[in-house]
Amino acid sequence: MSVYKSLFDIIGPVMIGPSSSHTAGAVRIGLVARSIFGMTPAEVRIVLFGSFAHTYQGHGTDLALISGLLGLTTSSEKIRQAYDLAAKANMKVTIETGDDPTEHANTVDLYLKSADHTLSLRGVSLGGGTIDITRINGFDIHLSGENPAIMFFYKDQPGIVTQVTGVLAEANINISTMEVSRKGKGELALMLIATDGKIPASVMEEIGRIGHIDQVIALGVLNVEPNLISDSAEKEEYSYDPQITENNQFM
Amino acid sequence: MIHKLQKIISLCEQEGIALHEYFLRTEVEEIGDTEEDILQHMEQNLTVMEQAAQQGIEGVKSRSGMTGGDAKLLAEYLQSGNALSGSIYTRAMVYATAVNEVNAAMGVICATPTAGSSGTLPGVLFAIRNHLNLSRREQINFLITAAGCGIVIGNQASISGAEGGCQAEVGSAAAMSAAAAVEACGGSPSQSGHALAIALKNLLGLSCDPVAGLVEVPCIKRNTAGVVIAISSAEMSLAGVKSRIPVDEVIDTMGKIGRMLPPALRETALGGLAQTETGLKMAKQLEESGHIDMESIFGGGDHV
Repeated sequence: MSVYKSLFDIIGPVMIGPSSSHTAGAVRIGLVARSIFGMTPAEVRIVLFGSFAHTYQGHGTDLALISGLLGLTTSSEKIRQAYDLAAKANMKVTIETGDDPTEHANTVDLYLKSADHTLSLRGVSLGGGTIDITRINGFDIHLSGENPAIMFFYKDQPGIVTQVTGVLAEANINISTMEVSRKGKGELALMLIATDGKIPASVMEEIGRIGHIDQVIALGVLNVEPNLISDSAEKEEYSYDPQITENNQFM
Repeated sequence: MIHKLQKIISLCEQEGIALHEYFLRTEVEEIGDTEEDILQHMEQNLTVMEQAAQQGIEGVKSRSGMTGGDAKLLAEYLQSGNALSGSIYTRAMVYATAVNEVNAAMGVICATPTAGSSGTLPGVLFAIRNHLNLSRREQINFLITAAGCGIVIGNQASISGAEGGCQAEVGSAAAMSAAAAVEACGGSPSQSGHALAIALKNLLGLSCDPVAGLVEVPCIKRNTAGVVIAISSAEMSLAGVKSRIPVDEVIDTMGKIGRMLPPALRETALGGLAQTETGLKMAKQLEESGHIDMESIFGGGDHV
């Protein structure tokens, strides 16, 4: 499997240290969970496995996951204050470690809860900040956050795939990958479609009008770093003086 | 994306193009971004690397108290004019240490390919860029070549310490840097391949055994040593020395060795240096007080 596709999977992300797999990757898993959930959850249970479980404190993996769930990016200096920010946002957090063997060393299960909905999700950090979401509400799936995507739950029955792809084709949107996972014939199913281009709101609405489809969730691209350093005060601190590195005594 | 580096090298040599041209073209084709956007994004990353290097040379301290200040020491040593290995090697060591110390201090860095190995590549680039008179665009080309080689390594083997040990992190970083350095010096794509293979061979088997689970000890010094392997491998290849084992076989071997490494040596802090008497002492102190007092660990005296 080609895990790495873009040059920026290797040179990047720009991030707060100390670990791309344990810090940046964890922020991204939190971010995907947040974007699927659609809001800041009231309660989060975090269960860490493997290397995540053994070294999360040293790497700030807990801080990183909470930061992602709060919507911070990998380069935010606020990651260090994640617990305080969670308290301010009324997000209750519990951290546990699990012994069950998992396929990959850096695995985390997230259980999100709010007054009216819940979400469970398994995230794997593959290295260099690259991630894979391998399970959503018990459905096996692969979601990297590298492409725009839509996902929705629906009642399994003939014709749904054709209707959805028809809407996308009409809007001239090319599908890059597509996954369908179901509990059983005629039961609840999950469809995940990654596309080459952004999906306009009107297309989302049209898909939402197809019968037997629950709310359609849009997922953005994770590997775009919105702002290298977001706060202006922090910008000052890192202002780059070319004199120092271009012509200093070491060059 | 082609999965074998040798195929990419042959294709470049047939078409008479450089590796960075191939990798840039592939990025445009497969990701769909414009050339301009890619170059601009890469330049932003380059700037982050420069800022981190600058910050580290000025001196930082990690939150645990375990590391920081060594880039400053190395810079002063370089200035003394007594450096045994001359200015390029020692400069590379200064920059590599600086960036990794900033990473350990939870500062802003660019992963190359990971945060734990974020010092090696800027270390090599910043040490050679003035000597070679590299333009801004040529420095970006250096990053593109390194990144493209990293994609191949990551897909064929691994760039994750948890999966493949430090050989997958600093090993990959040194290999990518060696290939890019050869190109920056005017070497052929095939020479880049040999440099990559030689660098990676010299770091095969390296464990990932961070003390207290932190990306500090021995990670920072492994980046400092990684630049030396990268530059010496580039030198060998530019001199015409060839890797006797083909590049893709070396990359595959790194992946295989990674899978053979016990989990204790793959970023779990359950083996290696993390489990030494002193490593455990530091971990215990960190757990109890949230900070490591290096003076109390070493009784205030010198240590070896």
